[in-house]
Amino acid sequence: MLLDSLINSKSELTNSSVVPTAVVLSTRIRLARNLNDFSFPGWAGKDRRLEVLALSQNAIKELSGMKDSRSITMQDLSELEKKILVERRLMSRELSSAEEGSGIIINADQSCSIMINEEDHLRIQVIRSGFNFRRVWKIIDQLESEMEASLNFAFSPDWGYLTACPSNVGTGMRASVMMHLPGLVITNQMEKVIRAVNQLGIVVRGIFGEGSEASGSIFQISNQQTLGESEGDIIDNLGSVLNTIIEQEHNARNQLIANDSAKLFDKIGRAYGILQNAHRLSSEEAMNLLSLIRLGIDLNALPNRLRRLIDRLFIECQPAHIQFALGKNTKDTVSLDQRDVHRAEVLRKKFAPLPSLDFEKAVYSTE
Amino acid sequence: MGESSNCNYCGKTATVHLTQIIDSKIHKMDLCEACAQEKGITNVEENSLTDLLSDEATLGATEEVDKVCERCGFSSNEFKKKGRLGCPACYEALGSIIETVIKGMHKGSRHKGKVPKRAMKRKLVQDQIDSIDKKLRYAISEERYEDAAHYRDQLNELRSQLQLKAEF
Repeated sequence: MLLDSLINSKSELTNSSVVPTAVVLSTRIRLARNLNDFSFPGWAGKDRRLEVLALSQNAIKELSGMKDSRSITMQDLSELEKKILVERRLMSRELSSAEEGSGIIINADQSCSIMINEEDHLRIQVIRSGFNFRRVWKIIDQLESEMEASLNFAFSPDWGYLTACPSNVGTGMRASVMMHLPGLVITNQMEKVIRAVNQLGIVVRGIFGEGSEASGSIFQISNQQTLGESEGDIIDNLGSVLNTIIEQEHNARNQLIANDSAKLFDKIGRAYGILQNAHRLSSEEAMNLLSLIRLGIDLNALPNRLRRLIDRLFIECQPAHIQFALGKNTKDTVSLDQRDVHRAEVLRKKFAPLPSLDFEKAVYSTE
Repeated sequence: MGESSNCNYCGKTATVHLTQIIDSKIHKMDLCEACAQEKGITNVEENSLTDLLSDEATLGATEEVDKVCERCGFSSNEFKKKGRLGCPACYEALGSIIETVIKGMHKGSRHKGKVPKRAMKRKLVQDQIDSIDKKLRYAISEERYEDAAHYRDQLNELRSQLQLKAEF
């Protein structure tokens, strides 16, 4: 069953290949590409979309980087399955509501997914734990070059890679990181930071939860513009802005400890206590509590090895994942309350065996 | 704040006010609750604000003659409504409105960066086709039929290299 294998296998985001670090959770690059001889998905008829789907699936399954990948058609997925894929950052919500002829291909460790017939014919995405644009670019660049060998990409020397929406034309690249910024959130500096980076063509969004809320103090920070700069330029510019944000986050944390460490430790301690003992937790509350624990790990109050667990829980506490864990058939209605109770149960079990918080060593270092 | 203005799309009272700053230029949009939902302001997966920006630029763009893309039938009026295009050929076919919109949203107006090997080769072949086509017409107009036949053969060869698809 699709969901079982997806959720139980080691995926890059939940069992990362590198040891997770403070602040930056993951790096992602997405490329938009279209086939030259077909109308864009929003304008093409169903038959043409199905042709694009078939052509793409055939080309992609031959790629060296996509052996052992799974090819899925949207029509074959239930609503719950689609939500799980969205929560695992493998596909967008837009693909969930796409018309017939849309699909997605996911590789074995869920570090690469290719959406077919979303807004563009192809949306290639590579995501890796940690802060490493160079590595992610190398992977996706090679993948895209291999695809290009068997597919005619729409391209103009003036405009670059042609996309359904002009906002993506040129490199068609959206580079982003997921960052954990509790220091800036608690010290109320996020708005200032967001305004400053907007001036540089960089966008900040909350990614978990509804809308753009800062659920769990986790933000997606990405470039906005795609034309006029090379891929390397975009990544370099974004990288230097991100380094500045990381520095500001470190400063905010040090500030919190210097000004009133007891207040901060109290927040973290209470979060730990609730996670071990609560019987009902909304996803919003769970995210914020987990965020404080991740901060606690960054402060050396808990061992580093627990970061991987926290990052996995960020995903596994999302609504669709909890519903799946409840073992209910997708047709049964599960109430919000039932989910909240089960989420608390999952967290109690995960937190029971953990060592207690030790703030003796709590000093904030930027290693 | 407290400004009451009308939704840029439907004219109802706007409750969502967006301000975006790119390259020191301020872009503002006002939307009502319903249009904000519809336009996907709550969609965080992609930068829907840039989609909106495209709307704002197209809404403000000067009125010009409605152009239609020969390959797919999409028109520039449709583009103004949807903010998206019909097919790759629309970029050339729909005229200056595309250039206007693109200039308003990106840092540059010419592509820098990765280039697909196959597409570049295709473009070279297409340029050759265009130039030989001109020679063919000229030869016909000058009644140099042997030359014309020669050009026609070259064109057939080049066209088969491209394997053009007719229908859209």
